[in-house]
Amino acid sequence: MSVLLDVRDLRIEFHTSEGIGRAVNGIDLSVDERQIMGIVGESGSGKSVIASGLVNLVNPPGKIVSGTVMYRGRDLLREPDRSLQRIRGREIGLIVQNAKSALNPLIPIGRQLANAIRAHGTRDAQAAADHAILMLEKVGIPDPVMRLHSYPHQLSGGIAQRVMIAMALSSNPRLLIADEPTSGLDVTIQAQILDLIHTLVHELHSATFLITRDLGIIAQHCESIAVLYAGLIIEQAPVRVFFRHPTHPYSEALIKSVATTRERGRRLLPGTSPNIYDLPGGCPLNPRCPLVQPICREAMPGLQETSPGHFVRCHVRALESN
Amino acid sequence: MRARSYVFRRLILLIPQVLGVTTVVFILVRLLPGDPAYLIAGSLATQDVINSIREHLGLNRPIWEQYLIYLGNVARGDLGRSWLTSSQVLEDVLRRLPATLELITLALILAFCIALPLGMMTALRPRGIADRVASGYGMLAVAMPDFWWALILVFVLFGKFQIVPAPIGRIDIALSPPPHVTGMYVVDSLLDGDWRRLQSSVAHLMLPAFTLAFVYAGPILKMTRATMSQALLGNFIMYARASGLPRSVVTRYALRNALLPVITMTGITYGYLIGGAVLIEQIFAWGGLGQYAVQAITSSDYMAVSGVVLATTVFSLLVYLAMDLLYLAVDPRIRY
Amino acid sequence: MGLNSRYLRYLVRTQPTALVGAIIVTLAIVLAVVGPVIGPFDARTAYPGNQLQPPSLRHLMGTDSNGMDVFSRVIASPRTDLTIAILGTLGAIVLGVPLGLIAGYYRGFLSELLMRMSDIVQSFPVFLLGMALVVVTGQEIKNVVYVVATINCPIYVRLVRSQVLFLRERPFIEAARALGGRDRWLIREHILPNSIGPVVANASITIGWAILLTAGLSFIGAGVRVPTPEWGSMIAVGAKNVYTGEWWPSVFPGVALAVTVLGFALLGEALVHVTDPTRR
Repeated sequence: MSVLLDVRDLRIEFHTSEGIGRAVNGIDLSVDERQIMGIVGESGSGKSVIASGLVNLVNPPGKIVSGTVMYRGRDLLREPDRSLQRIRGREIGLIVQNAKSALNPLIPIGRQLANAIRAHGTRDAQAAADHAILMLEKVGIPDPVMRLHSYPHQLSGGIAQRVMIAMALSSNPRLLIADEPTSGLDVTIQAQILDLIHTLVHELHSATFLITRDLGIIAQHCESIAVLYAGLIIEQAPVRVFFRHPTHPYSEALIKSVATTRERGRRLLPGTSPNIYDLPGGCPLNPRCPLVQPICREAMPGLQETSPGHFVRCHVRALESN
Repeated sequence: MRARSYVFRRLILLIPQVLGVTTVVFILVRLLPGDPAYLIAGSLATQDVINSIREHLGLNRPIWEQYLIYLGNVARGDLGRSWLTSSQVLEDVLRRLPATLELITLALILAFCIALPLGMMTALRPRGIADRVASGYGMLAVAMPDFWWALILVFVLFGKFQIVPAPIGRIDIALSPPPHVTGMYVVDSLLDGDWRRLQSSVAHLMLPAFTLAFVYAGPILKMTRATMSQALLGNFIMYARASGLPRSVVTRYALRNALLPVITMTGITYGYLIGGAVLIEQIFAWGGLGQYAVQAITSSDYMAVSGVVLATTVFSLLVYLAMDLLYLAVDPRIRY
Repeated sequence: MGLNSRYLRYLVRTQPTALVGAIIVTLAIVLAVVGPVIGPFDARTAYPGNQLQPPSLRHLMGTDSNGMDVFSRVIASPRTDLTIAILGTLGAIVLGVPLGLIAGYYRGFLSELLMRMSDIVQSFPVFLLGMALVVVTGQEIKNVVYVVATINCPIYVRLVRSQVLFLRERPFIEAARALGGRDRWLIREHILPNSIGPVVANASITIGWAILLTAGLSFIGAGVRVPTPEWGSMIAVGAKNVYTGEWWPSVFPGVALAVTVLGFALLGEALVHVTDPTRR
């Protein structure tokens, strides 16, 4: 299967009164056609900004400072807005968290959905309306014809999310970027939404970037995983391999933090998440890492392939595997 | 439906508001210097005449009785008699209202037509030349005293270049006003099909309206720019762009959301102008409410003062009500 | 938010107009203090026989129809205008902030009443109200100050109230309450410091408006009396001369007025932008 989206050395900074925040510090990612890739990280890891970075929609004070995002032979970060507009939505769909604030509060959702469908190629108003109803059915919204006239604030969180999924998938995009699609939803609804996404992308043969804080979601739905810390990918592997042999100390701690009861009360990693305005030199985990060595404070480790398809960014682990 | 109860509540609210305003006006007017009976009677009157006028005006009654009488009168539409003009205050006000309305309505429409497109354009193209010019204009217009600007414009456009007629009233001195339908000369001339009067009244209206528009477009421009740029950075705009919606649709989305505070501000400006145009009215001898108010205040014509302040405040309240209702119509979040 | 140099540099970089505003404001304040003294002529004395002289080296801005030197009067005016505007704004704040705190913190009847009263004051046509109040109380400077304070008071009541309402819901206030913090202490230690930012920022803008209001009132004869130097009344005195071509008695004070108000407005806008809590 060929590579659909290839990200190289993406760097995004925030210029504010507190200084320069380095949110994304050189990320290499690629997703193949029809592959579902999970990206996991805590707050401050940069995952929230990656989604908008991929489609070149980073708003000030954020700024994409370098990198390339190759999609079908074109660098999305250097394409003019006109051609980007044809790709966004139509070929690359986006789902964000908090659907209610992503939809225009003054316009009924049916019209918003139809607008999106028309923007993606369907000229005829009636055909667009029909397609809108079809999509609402597809995402499991009861009574779609009535729902067309609802306003976003009248919808529950779960329904609003389904509407957004309908919008994102209405044109059979080749890639879906799902940025924390279930944050803020009830746990039962979360499962439903994720299953829905999984089913649909499978049906539409779309590739997916699933960005989340929740390892469980990735374990259940993704084929490969990338772990983010301080704006860098610190481990990347197929999902099964990852959960069986988590190699990076941060990944280990992350998995352990999901484990229940017996580990309670123990601080897994001392310290707190990194401050993007003031990142430590060398490996960003060095102030907290149980395996820290002098070299970790001086040099940034590169991504090393410790076993086939399994990449880790750690001096110590890299040495061990050699 | 929530909307209906909202409208109802809002209308009901008007009553205590008007009541409150009436009370404040009553208190205010009590404080005006000068004995009204003395002023009405004239300086040659005897004490008896003055006393009987006091009796007639009810000035000897306890204050709360006077208050109630006043309230009763106002409710009936009786705002008293102006000692200066010797006519009913209500009549005076109604006679002068159209002049002010004509002026401020045109001024506001002009201001809106200048400010809105400019504000939109500059929000869409930040840091361009248009943006700098617009933001400079916005800042300057807010700081500029309208009366001074009027003088400058009169000096330049009338004094030096003679493009506009002399600032002495609403229509050429040689012409009599058109037959009264609304009281607004432009409208009435139009209705009468009288081109000469139409031309003259429009010519006289142009400069004062434009002066007001120039100055008051400033805050509207700043507001439009601010709300529009903020709307453009909003979550749903980012999502709309991410969904591949074309620029025209995205702009429409942003504008719709940005428009509400702008409309509110325009309404507030309109309410302000009914009293705020007084300086311009003075300069152009407009014969509107503002001038009447100044006369009344400086000559302690206390019925006239209370009448004018009451009338203009009620006007503002009605304008604010209209704004709230407009908001209701546009924003579905309040409706449902 | 500390006032360190990095922050100041950021401020200047993003808001260059703030610098212009600050310079103008400083100049105005300096003139308010020394203006009446440093003028070449006395600002209150008329020199008959010297009327309507065009600008020259002796009279930098010419003389008006009373024979007074325009330049000296222009630079003497800030003392009048700024005094009224600053004192009036301070009055509005001193009155409005506590009322706003009460209205925001203690819900219920008192709060509603305060807001309704505020509404009523604000629904009056500002200019007419100002005019009426000044005439009623007498045309002295201190009365104009009271009028400015009264008219602008509701703005601060509203401002502080919405700040308080916003802060009430913040977790740290709830936490402090849960720890048993008494209301008055909470207001003093937590709510007040957080509310002050927007108040200070708006103060500059209010001062600008107050100067315009004073000038407008004086123009129409309901403000400061001649011969006190004040830009508005100077413009009024020169108004009739504008039509006959002697522009200087009105134009110079007008420019000074506009520039000063602009300065306060620019400074105020920059401060508002910077203290806006929703940007944190």
